[in-house]
Amino acid sequence: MKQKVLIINLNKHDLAYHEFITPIISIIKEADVVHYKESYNPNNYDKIILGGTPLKDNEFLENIKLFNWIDDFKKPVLGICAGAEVIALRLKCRLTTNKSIGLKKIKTINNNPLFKGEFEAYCLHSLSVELRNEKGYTELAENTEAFMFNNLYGIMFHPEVRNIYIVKKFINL
Amino acid sequence: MKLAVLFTGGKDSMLALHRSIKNNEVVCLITIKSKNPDSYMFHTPNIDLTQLQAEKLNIPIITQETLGEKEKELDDLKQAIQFAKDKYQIEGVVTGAVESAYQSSRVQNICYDLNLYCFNPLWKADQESLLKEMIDKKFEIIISSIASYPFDESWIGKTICQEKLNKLKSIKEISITGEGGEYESTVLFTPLFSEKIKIKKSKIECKNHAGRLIIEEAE
Repeated sequence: MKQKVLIINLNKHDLAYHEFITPIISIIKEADVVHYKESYNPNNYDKIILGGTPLKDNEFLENIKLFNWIDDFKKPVLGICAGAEVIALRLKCRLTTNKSIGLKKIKTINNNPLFKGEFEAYCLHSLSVELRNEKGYTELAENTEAFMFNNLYGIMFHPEVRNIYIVKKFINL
Repeated sequence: MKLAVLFTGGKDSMLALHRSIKNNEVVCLITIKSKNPDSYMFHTPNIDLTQLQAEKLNIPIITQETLGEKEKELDDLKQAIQFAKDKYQIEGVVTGAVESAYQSSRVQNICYDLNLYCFNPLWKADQESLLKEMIDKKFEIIISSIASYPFDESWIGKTICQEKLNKLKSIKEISITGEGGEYESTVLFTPLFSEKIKIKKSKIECKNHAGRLIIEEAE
């Protein structure tokens, strides 16, 4: 069955669209794209992806209320980098400073449907997620490079750069 | 936003400039002139032509020399970006990186340290679409150097037009945009130029599958 996918653009600046949204569209081929400040109905979609932003763009963190739909949303959501930070904040987790730039080794620590084992991935983040484990959130990769809670997946590295199979697996969940 | 574009004079940095100029102010170009022809970081063929390209674009250019020693060359790049920040109050830097995590992550680190935005508007783009966009935008791009089989002397100095693009597509061994360093390019015209650059005197140096066009005089 064909999946209806929505990509949410978190960028403050248009120029970042090419870098953080276009590569995801290239993988999925067909998706609607909306800016996070525009109006949209998440219930019209089967899968939702929240894309990344440049290191210096954290404007979306001041607008976390605009993502309150995540709290009750039952279908799969993938947050990439900035998108993972949004999911973490909706889950009431904390963000801490932790710069990681370039190709890094990612180590899977819990079974999940998107990836397994050790692999290299492109990182571009200045923050990290501090999971509140008592809530039952699952850390999927070391250093909280990825986590999940029910239908919500947060990935701090950029799978659209070197690990496009992760995006494809998410779409086929 | 006030931006500086890391500028090699080749096709990718030129397209990055075109994409940046929409809704932003490109206040300067930054060119790193490396003495190491094998630098992983910086493009070297005909780098001196960037001065003339900047004149045709009517955008100020900052040229920084480097010995091109691995990692140390990044200090020179950082110095040039800091200079652009001080002189032109740039808020961000733009690169023409398409696939190279090596290049882009190093620029990202420098921008992070200097509290600047880093934009990569060609990042992960489909290679054929990029070349097609350049041809459609009427870029005049020549192949300024070659570094791998099956390229030979007959390619050097030739313009990348639709016909050449088709020929590049038919070569299985290469990335059609030269992303792996298979070839380098120089741009002689784009619609942002006041006029086309004319090469008055040049020569070709080539041995087997490696060679370059040396532009001795241009206007």
